[in-house]
Amino acid sequence: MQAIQDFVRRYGGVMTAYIFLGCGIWMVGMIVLPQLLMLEKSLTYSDPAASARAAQIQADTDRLFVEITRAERSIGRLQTRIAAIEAGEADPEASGGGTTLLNPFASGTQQQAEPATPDSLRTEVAELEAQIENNRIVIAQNDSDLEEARVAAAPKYGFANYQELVENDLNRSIFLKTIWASVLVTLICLIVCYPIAFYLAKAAPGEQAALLMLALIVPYWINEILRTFAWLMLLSDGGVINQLLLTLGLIGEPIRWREGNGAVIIGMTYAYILFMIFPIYNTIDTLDKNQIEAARDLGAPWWRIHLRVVIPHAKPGIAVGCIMTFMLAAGSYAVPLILGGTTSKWFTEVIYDAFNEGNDWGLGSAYAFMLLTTCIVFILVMMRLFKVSLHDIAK
Amino acid sequence: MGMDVELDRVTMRFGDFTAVRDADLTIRSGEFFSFLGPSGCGKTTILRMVSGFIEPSEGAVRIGGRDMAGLGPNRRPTALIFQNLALFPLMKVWENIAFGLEVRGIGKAERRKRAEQLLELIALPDQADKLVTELSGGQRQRVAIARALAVEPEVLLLDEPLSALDLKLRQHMRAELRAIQKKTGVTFIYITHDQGEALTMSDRVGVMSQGVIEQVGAPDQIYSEPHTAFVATFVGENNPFSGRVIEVAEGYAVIETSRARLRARNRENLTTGDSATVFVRPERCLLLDGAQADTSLPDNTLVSEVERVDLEGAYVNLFVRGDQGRSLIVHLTNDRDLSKLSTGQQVTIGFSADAAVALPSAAEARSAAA
Repeated sequence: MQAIQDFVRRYGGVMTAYIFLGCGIWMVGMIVLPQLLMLEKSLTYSDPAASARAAQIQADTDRLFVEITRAERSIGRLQTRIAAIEAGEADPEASGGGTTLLNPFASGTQQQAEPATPDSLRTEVAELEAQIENNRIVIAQNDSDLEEARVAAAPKYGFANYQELVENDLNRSIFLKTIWASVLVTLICLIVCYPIAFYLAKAAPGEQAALLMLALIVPYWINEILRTFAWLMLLSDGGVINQLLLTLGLIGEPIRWREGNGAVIIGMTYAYILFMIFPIYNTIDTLDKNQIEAARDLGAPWWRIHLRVVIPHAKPGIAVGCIMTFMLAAGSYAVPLILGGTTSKWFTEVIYDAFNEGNDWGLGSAYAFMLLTTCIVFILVMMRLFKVSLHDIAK
Repeated sequence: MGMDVELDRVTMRFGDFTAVRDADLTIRSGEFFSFLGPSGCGKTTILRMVSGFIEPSEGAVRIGGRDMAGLGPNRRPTALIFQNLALFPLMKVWENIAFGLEVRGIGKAERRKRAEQLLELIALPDQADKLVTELSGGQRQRVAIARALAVEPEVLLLDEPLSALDLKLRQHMRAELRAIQKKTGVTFIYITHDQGEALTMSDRVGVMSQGVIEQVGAPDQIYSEPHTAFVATFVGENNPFSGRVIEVAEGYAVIETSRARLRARNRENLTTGDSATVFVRPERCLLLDGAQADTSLPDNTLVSEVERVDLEGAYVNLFVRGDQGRSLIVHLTNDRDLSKLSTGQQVTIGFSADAAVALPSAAEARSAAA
């Protein structure tokens, strides 16, 4: 209450309402509700055998209905013929109609058969009626079976969707691959970005730093898909890099980047480099240059200065950069889709398939939720391991 | 036991700007030497050249007779105390102090022991395990000194380390620094724009202006025998009278100023016709009353009106209309009836020729140097 009063005093009523409304929509609408919905979906599953049976019964019933309709139509026709013959007229179907014109021989042979009598036609009607009756009984039976099957197939709460992930060898291995490959992307990003961030923040003269910063940002004006396709042009079997290396005679045959995870990891490292550079740059930028000089003056070689002074200071930035890169990499879809070969499927693609091709939202949600939870747990463990608190990151 | 530091015709240029011009002096081993000057005079540049963060454009820096060219700050027998101290905020007090030892590969137990000894020296025992951020300004100051001393430097460089402290603490730390210097025997090179610090602590002071070392000498020498107009005005208060030399004789010169004809010592060998400035310290000026004026007149007298009287307590600052719109300041001991000195009243001010020095005017001095 006190906090709200302070808010009102500082920002005025309208602004306070706006801030709280905005935060509310953000928290509830964008984070809490979707997660809860997804969680609920992921815990719902239906027995696939039961639903298959229900579908089969339904199809059977449909077929029986079609048969009934057909039989009823035949009965109608037969009765018209009976009525016509009894009235002394010619059998409307005895001549075979237009078929004579097309195949006089065939209809001629048919003509040889004994002509239909009202009695024989009545027998046919009776047979058809018996079949209709029979069908109706089966349908009634089917209806009660269908009811049963539907109950069996109804969505239920349970962990079957999660169990599926554990039991499905292929998807599980893709899941684990996605996690470790994301860790790898994060590590490569960190190794590439830390020196750049340090150089930008502390070593580069003002103008040069600004230019370098621009050079870093400009490629990101192009959208991610295009940038990823650019990598495809570079890395494909007949791509720029391979052709260059082949021309120079450095390799005998093209390197198949896209066969394993190489291309995906390279593309992803590039895609998320800025998310690593900027947090690190920001923290190093706040480091007093005198501290670096003091360490140097006290005799420290450059690596010890980084180890004891710069990195401890930049740790929150490094943590933020790693978290962002890791999360983005684990949740990346476009890069693996474009750069990945047949063997380098990403878990996000599995999730996409579950939603869109399998049309199984429960399974898709379970996969997505698993990925999210694993990522968060992984990050919390890492933060504990490297002694970074949420408080540090908030700074 | 400290090493001497030799600046051999050192010049430092940054692009077109010359930060230090032709600095040539030797700081003796075990000496407390201060560079005194306004900000931007090049004193910090000298410090950075001695510590090795920058290499001079011309000339050589020698420490203990050894040329330091090409040696980085981590390979020189110097330690620098930064203006903002630059303690490592993420390390504990003792880790800060022992950082230089850690770099030298000394074991943890030994480091800890040495850090505690140094904490003893700076009178901060039992603070070893605190964070630097938990200490007060004065305590941090001392930790910075201990950290620099831990690497047993031959030369300790201090870049205005007291400027962030309040007055009381600053005065206390002056004495402490001096004591530590005496105890350790390390050569101290101290940078400051505060003349009080320079004069009270130093064995010798180098006064700098615009990249040039104007004068080097013991504090009392700097104060009483300034060699240039800049030193005369920058160090302590001084009353200037500009004019032209009309007569030189026996170590004295007579200068014709707009106020009066003044006689002053002439140690800079001014000749007739030179433009010159006479400086006299406020405490060397006398307020002459009628009776005294008759009997023993000092060499120089001038009559002017009182502008203002500022009571400082033990003494009084009397502002009298002086030369070229400037006020002439006279320090009087507070032993008279001040009510007699009302604004606008005519008074006679006198000073002896020995109390005054005639120096080449600032513009003159520059062209002579160039």
